[in-house]
Amino acid sequence: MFPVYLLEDDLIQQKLYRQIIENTIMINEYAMKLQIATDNVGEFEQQLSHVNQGLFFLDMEIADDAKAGLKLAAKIREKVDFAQIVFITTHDELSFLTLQSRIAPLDYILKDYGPQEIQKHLIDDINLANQNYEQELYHHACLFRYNVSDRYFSLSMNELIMLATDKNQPGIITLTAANRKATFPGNLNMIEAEYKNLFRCDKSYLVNLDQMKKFDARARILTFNDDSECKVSYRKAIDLKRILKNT
Amino acid sequence: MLYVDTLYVLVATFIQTLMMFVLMRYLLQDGYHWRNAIVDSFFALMVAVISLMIFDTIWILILIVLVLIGRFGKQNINNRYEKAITFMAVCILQMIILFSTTYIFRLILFLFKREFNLNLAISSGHLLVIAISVSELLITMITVYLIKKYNEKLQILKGIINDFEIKNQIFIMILGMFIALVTVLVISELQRVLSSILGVLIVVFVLVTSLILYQMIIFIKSYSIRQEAINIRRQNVQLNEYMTNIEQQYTEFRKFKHDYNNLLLSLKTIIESNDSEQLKSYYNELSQQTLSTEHNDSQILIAVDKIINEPIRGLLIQKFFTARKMKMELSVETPDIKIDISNHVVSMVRILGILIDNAIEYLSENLEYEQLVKCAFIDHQNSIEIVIENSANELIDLDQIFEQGYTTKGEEHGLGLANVSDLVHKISNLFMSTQLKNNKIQISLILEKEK
Repeated sequence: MFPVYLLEDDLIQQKLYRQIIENTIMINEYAMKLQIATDNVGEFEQQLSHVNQGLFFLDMEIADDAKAGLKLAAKIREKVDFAQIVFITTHDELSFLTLQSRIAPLDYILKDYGPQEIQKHLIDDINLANQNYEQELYHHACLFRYNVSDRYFSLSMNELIMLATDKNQPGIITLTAANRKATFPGNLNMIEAEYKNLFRCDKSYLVNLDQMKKFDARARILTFNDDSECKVSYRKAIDLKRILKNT
Repeated sequence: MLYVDTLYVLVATFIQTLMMFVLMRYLLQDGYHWRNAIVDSFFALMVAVISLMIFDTIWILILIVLVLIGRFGKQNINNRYEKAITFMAVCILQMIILFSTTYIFRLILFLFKREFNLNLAISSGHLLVIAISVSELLITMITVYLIKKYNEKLQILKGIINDFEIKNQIFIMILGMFIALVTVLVISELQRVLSSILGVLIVVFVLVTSLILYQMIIFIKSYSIRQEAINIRRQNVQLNEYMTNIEQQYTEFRKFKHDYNNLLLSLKTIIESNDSEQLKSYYNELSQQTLSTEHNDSQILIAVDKIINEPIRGLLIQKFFTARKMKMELSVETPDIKIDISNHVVSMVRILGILIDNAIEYLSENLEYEQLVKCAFIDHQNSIEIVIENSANELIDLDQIFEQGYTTKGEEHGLGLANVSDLVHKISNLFMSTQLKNNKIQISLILEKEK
């Protein structure tokens, strides 16, 4: 069962959301359950102690604390491995980019939208959360994670194309993915050890062969789906040919 | 120029040239690698051999090559003269080192042997070469150390030169000095001018050079003061506009409050009359009435106030008005605590400026997207993150936009982003992540806090 949690201090709205959530789960026969709907942060937190997954609907402002929801979300991110967080809030309280960077929520539902929009968003988010949950079950740990000091990023492994280092800038890795480009401090040897699915085709390249478009064995050049290229060292070309034959 | 054996000249020139290349690399911040050392040695040897035949004209040749590379190579406009200027500066420095060493050497010989005789210097040619080499190495090491130590200041100077577009003036000034020096050298070589007179010429040259340098510093200082005054005046005008705007908003707000009280009053009468149909229709009417919070101007002032660094604050306010002029919004998010980016303020101002300009330019060419540039300063425990986001076509090729020369429209565009990459690479604790998602492009700069 995938648990759903709701924090909202306006009891009338809370009742409305609860109904929408329960109905959506029932209609779609999702393996989900609304675990708790409360207006009390303390009560909510107690529930968290044994949880490692869940969908969380949080009101940003609880009682007089305009950031109660945000603080709670930070705690959830810390404690719960697979948490999908949705904020229900009014427009003024939001700093979208900051929230995205800190909490990476699934969605924001703005109360200014009016009841109909809120309902639509709630339903969409439950559907999306369920989708993510099922995907997570199948492709567990198919994420590539990197960080710059205490800012953590992750992306789906099937987006990753290659990681490279530049000899003029040792200790800095350039990441290329579909729709993403980044630099971060790191070491290819350690990443190679952690992610066995990546192929070290040269001293300074670690590539994702699932993204390979073609391999020119004579010139020893790998081409990827986004048309980026990289050179394969002589020794690794032999390994690569063996791998390609076996698949 | 030195009346010693060919081999000695060769060795001295070789070391001189090699040291020049080393200094250039450090000044241009290429970073040094053993491969560079091999390449440099090779070129230095070539230069040394050629210089045996054409003497000091070689320096002019190198300069011409560098200028040509700057003109026609894959350089971006900002760096067009960088190499040539650096080369001339380094060259002048090296020449001065060379001559000072030669004369000091002679002086020492004179003190020892008690007679000032040119032939003495010649007969101790090997000693002279050793002396030159040692002093070259020593001074180069000291200079490299100074470059590393004052790197930040050097970058600031470069930034100022770039920002005020006085590169051409500086190029011409240094070119003048350079040509004067080389002319002195070449003519004295051709005419076999006595070294004592050459010495006088060099002393005069050094004096004039330092005077020009002094003037140049004063020039840059006064220029930047003037520029700052212009900026402040522009900001004041904008702030005035802004105040008027806020006043208007306040009036609007008061009007709303007034209306609101009236609405509550009539609501009360309806409720008392218990007419639920009328209540419904009244509610609908009420929900249409919203205070327009869309253009909340004061937000940016309050947000920007959290940033300690004046140049970044100024930049954001300036870009806010640029966006306003283009009928766009620039929103700024800042944390509750103060943000301080003092260590790399100059580079950060340039990076942010380019990124925001690009976002504004992109949106102005793509009116179908939401005309909003979002910018956030986020304080993490060990890092500061700056995010810039705007709507964009998901099919943009990220690889391309940071490459030199790529442009969606207009030349400056592509060059700007390539510059950002360069600037980010030069700060060792700054990292950049660019992401396209849900038709939005999001650029994240993460600066590790220095402990």
